[in-house]
Amino acid sequence: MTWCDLADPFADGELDADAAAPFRAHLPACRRCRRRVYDLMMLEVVGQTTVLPPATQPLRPIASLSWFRQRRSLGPKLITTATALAAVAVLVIVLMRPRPDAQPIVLALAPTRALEPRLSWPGADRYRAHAVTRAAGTRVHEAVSFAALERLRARGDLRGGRRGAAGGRAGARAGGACGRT
Amino acid sequence: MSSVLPVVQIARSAAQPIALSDGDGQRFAKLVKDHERALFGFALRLSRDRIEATDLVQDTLERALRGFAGFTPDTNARAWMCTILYNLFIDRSRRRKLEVPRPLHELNQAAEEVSAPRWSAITSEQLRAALTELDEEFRAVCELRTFGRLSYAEIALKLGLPRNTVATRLMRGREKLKALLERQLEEQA
Repeated sequence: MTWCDLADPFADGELDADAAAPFRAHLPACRRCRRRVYDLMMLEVVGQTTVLPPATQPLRPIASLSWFRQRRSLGPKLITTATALAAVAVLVIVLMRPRPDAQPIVLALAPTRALEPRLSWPGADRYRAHAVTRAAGTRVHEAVSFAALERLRARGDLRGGRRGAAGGRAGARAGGACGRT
Repeated sequence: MSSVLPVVQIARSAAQPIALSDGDGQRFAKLVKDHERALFGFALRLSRDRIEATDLVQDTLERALRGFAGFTPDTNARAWMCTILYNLFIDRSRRRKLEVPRPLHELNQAAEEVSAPRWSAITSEQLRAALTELDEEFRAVCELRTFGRLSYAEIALKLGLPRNTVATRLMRGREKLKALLERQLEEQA
């Protein structure tokens, strides 16, 4: 056996320490061994980066499955299909049924405020009283004079709904004032 | 194996500073991550010493980082790095051997270094095609060794052959495989 016969076992890590040490000392001096070890290493590198195609050997059928296939008839087939469909339907119903503890998702229904509290907004430093905001954006101004309020108070009708004989005109004026916007 | 130093640390710890762009650094870090374990495996198999193998991998990475600008991106990076590692290993063994007097013709032979372009250009399809051309007795052992990474004893057990027969078939099979690959490369060229 020559040194060069040890190149393959050395490259494959098959030499024990006692045999590997002299070959390692021999390696730098022998061009052929150097080349051989390098080629084997590179062959392994290419093999490591190679993905082999899947095995083409056909799978052997399972004995019980082939027995079932040979003996099945239309009846069991229909029963199997109906059972599968029923199972799917039950699954869909169970999944789609609303849970009792589930709360409806509320979107954009939280109390909202206008832009006034936002200090970065230029109009934030102006006081504006909270009032009902109509859809068109108009505000209801209830400017009732002190005299009308005094008349209503004396009549005992601060809401202005009652029309007495004594203060009928005043009440009507006050009511008109209350209703005016 | 513990992880080698990060790329930036390799670049800083080198004897001469290595200028590295961000893109190159990221690409090289990915290379290190992908091939570090394989490099260490080869280094350990060559040196049979864990500390020396770690040093070898570290020097390999430093040299690879220094020559990263010259690396062709579409070729086999592991082949490129393993070639560097093998050359470094030969250099170290040669330096160790220089202490013993040797004939001059051996010194002249040792001056040549192996190069990588042939192997790094071989694709996995070419290797598969070459394997299909081998005889069954050689293909079985070559596939089990190259792809299955089984030892000689394991292959012998699996195929029911003596260990020496496995070694012989493996040696002859790989010689044929190499010849087939070289022929394919020549045809391609």
